Amino acid sequence: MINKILLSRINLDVRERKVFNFFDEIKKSIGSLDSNILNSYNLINISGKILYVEGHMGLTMLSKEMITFKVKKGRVIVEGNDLVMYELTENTMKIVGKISKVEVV
Amino acid sequence: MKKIESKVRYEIKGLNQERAFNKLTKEVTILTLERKDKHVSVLEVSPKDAKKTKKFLRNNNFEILSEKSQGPYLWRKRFLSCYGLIAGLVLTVACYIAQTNIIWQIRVYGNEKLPTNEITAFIQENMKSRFISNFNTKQMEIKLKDNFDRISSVSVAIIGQSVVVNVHESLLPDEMTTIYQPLVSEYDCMITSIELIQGTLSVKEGQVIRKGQELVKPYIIDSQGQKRDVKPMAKIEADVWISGQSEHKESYYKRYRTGKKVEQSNISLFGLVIYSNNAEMKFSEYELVEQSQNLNKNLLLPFKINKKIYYETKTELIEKSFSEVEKEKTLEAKEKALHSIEECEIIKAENVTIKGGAGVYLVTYTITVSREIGGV
Repeated sequence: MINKILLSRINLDVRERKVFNFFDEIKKSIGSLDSNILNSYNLINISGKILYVEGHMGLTMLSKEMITFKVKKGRVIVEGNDLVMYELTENTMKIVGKISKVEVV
Repeated sequence: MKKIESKVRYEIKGLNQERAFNKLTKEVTILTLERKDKHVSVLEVSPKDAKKTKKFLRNNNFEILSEKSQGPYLWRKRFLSCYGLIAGLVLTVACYIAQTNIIWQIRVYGNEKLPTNEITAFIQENMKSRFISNFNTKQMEIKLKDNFDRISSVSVAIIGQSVVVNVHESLLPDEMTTIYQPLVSEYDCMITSIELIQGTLSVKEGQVIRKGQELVKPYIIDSQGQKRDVKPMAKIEADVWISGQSEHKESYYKRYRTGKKVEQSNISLFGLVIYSNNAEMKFSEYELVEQSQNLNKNLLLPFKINKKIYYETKTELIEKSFSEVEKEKTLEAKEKALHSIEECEIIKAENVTIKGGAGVYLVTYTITVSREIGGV
């Protein structure tokens, strides 16, 4: 009985998370675009101080002034000052510093 | 409050760092990554990933310039690495806990006539063990009262790690505790008056007694015919004879030093003479004084200096008849007698006796004074 209650609670949590996924909400709101194209990478620039990256495919260059990394069908160049990488995982990263330019090539 | 995170920080040097970091992220999460120089970077990983990261960096030909731990992980790591400290701490705490349950000392208060060590020894003998939990204070109080007649009341308490004994001694009359000694005379004298206060008289008026003779016995015989000990007390006055003596020989040899002397000395080590200065001694009559002492206190080797001093002496025959020195000798004897008289004592009589024979005379000057020889 307790197990059932726990399981239903977990399912509810999962549903809740799906509901509040920021990126999915944005994608859903623009319904006309192909969903396969929209699944390559996500970038969020917070006040020019933090750049959150999701879906990168590997770091290509790292310096205090420039960080570049590969994404699906392209490359992203981040320029700025005192750039430091935070929480670098296989497909996410946070770039912190004075971000002046984010370019996708 | 900002949470203090545990991190392990590596400063590394090597080529193709970006490629290596991409590979490393497949295994661990890099918490921070910063490029310091063209070939130098600083990365931080969580302690659980530290081992993997280090292995990875080594396998990929990176030189680890420095490795530092930060946060609670470091403290725990440091603490656990000090096994000696932990063992010492544990041992200290264990010893402290163990010793707090042990009686270390016994303190006795309030005793005047009962010796402290007697009470202490009794308690130690009657303690089951030194553990506080095994010590029964009530039982010890009863035992002390039963075994010490002189204890009127007693309290035993455990304060800290000490047994504190407060004793109240019972007051007993002196007769029950003291063994009295008889009153004795300190002088050769003749008793002139007696006033007995307590005890049994051994002498009577007009009796001539010697020094140390018993005057009053320390007991009385009561009306039942029983002997009872008392402190002997009496006012006894006596004529005490105090005398001084001087002697004269009509002819005798007097030996004296002329003032001339000869010194001989040597220095020895373990009885072997190393240096000697033996001046020639030509005296026909002399006195010899020998001295031996260490040359220096701080020397490791026991060098000794031995001295012999010869003093030249002469012997002279001195002849003087007694009639020439009679007054002088009488005065000398009187002076000696007067020395033994206390101040303000009234002299009742003075007497001089001269005994002589074979050229030797002994002058005795006797002074008679009245003194109280009893004890009140």
